[in-house]
Amino acid sequence: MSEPEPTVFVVDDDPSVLKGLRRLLVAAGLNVETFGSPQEFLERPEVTGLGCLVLDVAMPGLNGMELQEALDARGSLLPIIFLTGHGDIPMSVRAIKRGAVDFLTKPVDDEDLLAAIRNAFDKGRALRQARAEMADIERRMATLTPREREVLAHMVSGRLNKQIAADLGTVEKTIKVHRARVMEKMQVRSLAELVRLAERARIKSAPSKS
Amino acid sequence: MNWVIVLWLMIASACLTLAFIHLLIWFKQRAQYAHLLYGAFALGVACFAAFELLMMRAESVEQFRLLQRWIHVPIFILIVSSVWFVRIFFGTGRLWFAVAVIGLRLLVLVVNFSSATSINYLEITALRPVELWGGATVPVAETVVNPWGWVGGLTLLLWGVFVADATLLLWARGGPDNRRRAGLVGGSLIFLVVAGAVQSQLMHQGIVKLPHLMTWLILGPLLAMGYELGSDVFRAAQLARKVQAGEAQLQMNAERLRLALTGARLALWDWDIANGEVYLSDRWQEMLGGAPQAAITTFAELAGLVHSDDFPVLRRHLREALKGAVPAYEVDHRVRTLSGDWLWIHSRGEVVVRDSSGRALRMTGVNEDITGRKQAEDALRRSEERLRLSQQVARVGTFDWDIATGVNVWTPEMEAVYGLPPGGFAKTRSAWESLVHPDDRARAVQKVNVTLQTGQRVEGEWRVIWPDGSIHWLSGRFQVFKDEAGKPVRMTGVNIDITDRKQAEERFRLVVEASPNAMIIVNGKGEIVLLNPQAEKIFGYAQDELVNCSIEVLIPERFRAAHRDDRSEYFRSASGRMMGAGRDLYARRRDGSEVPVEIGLAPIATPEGTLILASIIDITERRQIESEAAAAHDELAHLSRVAMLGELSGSLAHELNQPLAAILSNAQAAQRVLGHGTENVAEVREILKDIVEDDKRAGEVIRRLRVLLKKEDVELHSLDINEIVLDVLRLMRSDLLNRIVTASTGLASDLPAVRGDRIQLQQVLLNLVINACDAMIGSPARDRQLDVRTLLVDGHVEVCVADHGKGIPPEDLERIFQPFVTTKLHGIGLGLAVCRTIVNAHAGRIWATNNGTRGATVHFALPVSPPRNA
Repeated sequence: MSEPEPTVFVVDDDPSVLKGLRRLLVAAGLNVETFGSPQEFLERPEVTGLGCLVLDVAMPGLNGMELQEALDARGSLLPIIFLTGHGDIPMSVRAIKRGAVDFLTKPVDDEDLLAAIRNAFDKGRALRQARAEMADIERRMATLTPREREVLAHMVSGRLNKQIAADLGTVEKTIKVHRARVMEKMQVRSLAELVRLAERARIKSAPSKS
Repeated sequence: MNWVIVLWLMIASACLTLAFIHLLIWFKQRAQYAHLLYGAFALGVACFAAFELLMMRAESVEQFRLLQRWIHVPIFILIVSSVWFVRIFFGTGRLWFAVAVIGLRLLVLVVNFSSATSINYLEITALRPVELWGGATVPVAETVVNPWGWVGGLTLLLWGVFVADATLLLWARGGPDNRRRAGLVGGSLIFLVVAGAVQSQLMHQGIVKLPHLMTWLILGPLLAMGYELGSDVFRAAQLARKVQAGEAQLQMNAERLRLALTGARLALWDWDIANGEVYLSDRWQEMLGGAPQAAITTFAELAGLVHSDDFPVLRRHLREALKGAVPAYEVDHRVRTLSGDWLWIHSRGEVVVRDSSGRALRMTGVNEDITGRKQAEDALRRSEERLRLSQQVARVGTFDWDIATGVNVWTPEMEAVYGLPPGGFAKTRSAWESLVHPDDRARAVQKVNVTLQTGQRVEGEWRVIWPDGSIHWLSGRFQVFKDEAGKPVRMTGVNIDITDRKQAEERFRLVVEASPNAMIIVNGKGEIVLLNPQAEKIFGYAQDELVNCSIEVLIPERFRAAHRDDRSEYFRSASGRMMGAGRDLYARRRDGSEVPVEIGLAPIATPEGTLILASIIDITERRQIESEAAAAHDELAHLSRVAMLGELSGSLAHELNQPLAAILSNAQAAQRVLGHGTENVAEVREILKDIVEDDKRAGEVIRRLRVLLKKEDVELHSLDINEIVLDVLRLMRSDLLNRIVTASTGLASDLPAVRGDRIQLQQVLLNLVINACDAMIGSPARDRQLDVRTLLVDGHVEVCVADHGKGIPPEDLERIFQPFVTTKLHGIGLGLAVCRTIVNAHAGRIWATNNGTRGATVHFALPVSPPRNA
C-alpha cells in the first residue's frame, strides 16, 4: 500500500524564519507548505493527508496555542510541533498536554527538527490507522441491536452467560443466541478479540449489579 | 436956577452913574462885595444930593419937614455901606465895632421916624431964604431942636472912631499900598465924619443958620474910595492877564508833569488837609485798577486801602512830615487794589502849603508802583536766605583768601564747619593749618599749594579737630584767581562737613569686609575701588594689588572683551540683578586658574558717581555637588533601565532568537543542498544572502539592547519622537505578543523635533509601555489594547500612552511619580520617579489621567527644540 508523501505545514509570522525553515525542509526532501499567520492556515482547505504542523507560538492576532485549540475543535489529526523563540516550562507542558508532538526552541537544529517531524509523521500515521480501525469497529457496532449492545457490554466485562441472563432478566439460552450474533456482527472469533476491540472503541463494560 | 442946584444935580447924576457901574461890576463878579458896597455908597450919595436939592427947592415947611425926616435913609445907607466897605477893603476893622455902629444908626433911624419931625428937630416953624455966595438963595429952616439929637451925633462919632481904628490898623501893616489906602480912604472918611458932625451940630442946634448942604463933604471919600477901587480893578485886570499867561504856563507844566509822571509811571496825589479831600492822578486810579477819577476822593478812603501792617509806619512818616520835622517823607507800603490784590508802592510826599502858624494845609506827593521790584527783591532775599540756610544745613562753609594781604575771610558757616564760633577764626593761613588734623595736614597743605601753582580747581578731603576734640571729615574745593601777570591773588572755595558720609562709608566698608561673600566695588571706569578679604582669598590677590586695577584682570581672557561691553552697558542702566543669567561664569585667579562663580550686581549711587558692588560666590563646591547629583541621577536611570530590561529579557531573547533561528535553518539547508552534490550555487548564494540579512538583524537587536544598557553620558540631539515610539514598540514586540497585548499607534505627522537624549526618552517610553501592559494583566486578552499617540500642543510635543486596565485611583494620580510608590505587586516604585526626573531634565512635564471609558493614560510633553540655525 503506497501512501501519499506527507507534507510539513509551517506557520510563523517571521518571514525570514519561515523562508529558512522552508529551505531546510525542502532540502531534507520534504513537502513543505508555509503560512505567515495562523489565520492564513485556517483559511486553507482542511488537511486530509499525512503531515505535521510546525507552529510558532508568539504571533500577533491568533497565536500558536490558540491555533492548536482551534484545530482540536475541528478534530484535526494533524500532529503539531511547537517552535518558540522563548518558551517556558508551563507553556510547553500545556502544549504537550494538548497533544503537541514536540516543543522546540529556536534556533532549532535541523536533526532535532527533522526527527520531530518524522516522529510526528509516525504519530500521525498511527493516529490515522487507529482512527480507521475505530471507524471499522464503530461501523460493526452500528449493526448491533440495542439488546446485543447490552450483551456486548456484559461480555466485555467478562461475565458468564448465566450472570448476564440474570441481570438482563432473561434466560441463558437467549443470551447465548445474542452472544453468537454479537461475535458474528463484530467479526471476531474469540472473546479476547472482542475485548480488545471494545477497548479500542472505549466501549464501557457494563457495571456489575451484584 | 442957581449954581448950587446945577452942581447938586451934576453930583447926583455922577453918583448914580458910579453906582450903576460898580453895581454892574459886582453883578458880574459876585465875590467882589467891595463893588456892591461902593455902588450902595454912591447911590446913597446920589439920594442924599437929591434930598438936599429938594430941600433947597422946598416951597413949604411941610415939604421941608418931610424931606428932613426921610433924608436919614440915605444917611443910613451911607454909614452902613462905608463901614462894611472899610471892613472888606481894608481887611481890618473890628466886627463888633462895625455892628455896633450900624445897630446904633438903626436905632437913630427908629427914633427919627418916631419923632414928630425928625431926630434933629421937634418942630420946623418957618423957612427963611438965605442968600449964598454967587447970588444963589436957599431956604433955611427955623426949628425947635430935638433933645434926642445927640444920639445922632454919637453915632457919627462912633462911625468916625471905627473908621479911624480900621485906618490905623491898616496903616500899621505898613506898605505903600496900605498906607496910601489908609490915608486916602480913611482920611477922607474921617474928615467927612468930623466935618459932617460939626456942621450938623452947628446947624441943628441952631448955633449957625446954615442950609442943609453937606453933599460936598461926602465927595471926598467917594472919590478916594472910587480911586482906590478903580486902581484895584485895573490891577486886577493886569493880574488877570498875568494869571492867564501863568495859567497857560501852568497848564503846560501840568501837562509836562503828567507826561513825566506817566512816563515814570508815577502817580500824583494832592491832599487838601483842611477838608480831607485828595486828588489822585489818573495813574493812581489806574494802579488801583479803577476807572480814572473813580471812587477815591478823600484821605480817609485812601488810607483805608493801605495794608494794616504798613499803616503804622506810613502814619509815623506822615506825621513827621506834617509836623515839619522832615522836609519830605518816603516810605514803601502796600495798598489794596480794587480787585483785592496787594500792590507795593513807594510813596513820597511833602507839605506844600502851610498857614501862618505853620500848620500844614496841603501835601502833595508821588507814588510809584514797585511791586515788581519788591518781588524781585523778595526773590533775591529769599534765594539768599535759601543759600544761607542750605549752607547752614549742609554745613557748607565758604572762604575768601586774599593772598597778597594774607587775610582769609571765613563765613560763619565755614567757622561752624571747623567747630569755631562766629568770628572765631584768626583769618590766617597758619591758623587754618593748625585746625587740620596733623595726619592730614601735609596732604591738605599740598592740595592748597597745588592750586596755587597750577591754578586748577582742586578737591581734597581731610580731617579737622574741633576745639571740643571731636574729629570731623571735610571735603574742600578751591580755586585760585590770578592777576594779569598770572600771579595768584585770591583763592576762594568751599568746605563741606562730610563726616556723616565718611562714617556711612566706613560702616559700608566694614559691612563689605565682614560679608561672607567676596565683594568687589568697581567704579564707572571699570577700576576696582575696594575688595574684601574674601575676594582676596578667592582670587589670590592682595587688596593693594587690585585696587585701581581694571576689573577685567579677574576675568578669563576669552571673556574679557565681552565683559567690557556688558559692563558699560550695565552702567548705563544699572539695577540690582544677577550677572550673566543662564550662563556659567568663571573668574580668573592670580595663578591663571579659573573658578566657577555666581555674581550678584548692585549699583551704589555716590557723590563720585555710580559704583557697582559685585558680590561673588565661589560655586566650585556647588558645581561638584551638582555634578555628583547628576551622576547619581544618571546611575539611577541606568540601573532602572537594567532592571526594566531584566523584565523584558524573555521577549528580548525571542527577538534575538528569531534571526538566529532563520540563520541556523538557512545554514543547515545550505549544507543539505551542498550535501546533495548538485552544484546549486544560485540557491546557496541566496541562502547566504539571507543569512547575512538575519545576522545583521540579530546584531541590530543586540545593538539596541546595548544602547539601553550602556552607561553613557547624556547627549542632547534633535530627535523625532515618532521614531523613538516605533523603536520602543519594535523592542517590545515580543513582549507585547507574549502578553497578548495589541498595540496601536496614532502618530502625528510633521512633528517638530525635540531636543533630548535618545536613550533616556526610550527608557521613559519603555517604562510607560511596560506599565501599561502590566496594568492589563488581569484583563481578558481581547481587551488588552495599548494605544500610543503623539501630538503637538502649545509648542510641546506630547506623547500619550493609554492602556485598558483598571485605571489609577484619583488620589494616586500624583503620587505614582514619587519614588517608592508603586501600585504593582512586585514593583519597587522607581520607574515613574525616574521617568519624571528624566522628563524634567528635558524641561518637560509628565502626568497621568484616567480615561473616560477604562484604563489610564500617562502623558509626557517636551518643548519643541528651537530651529537649528537659531
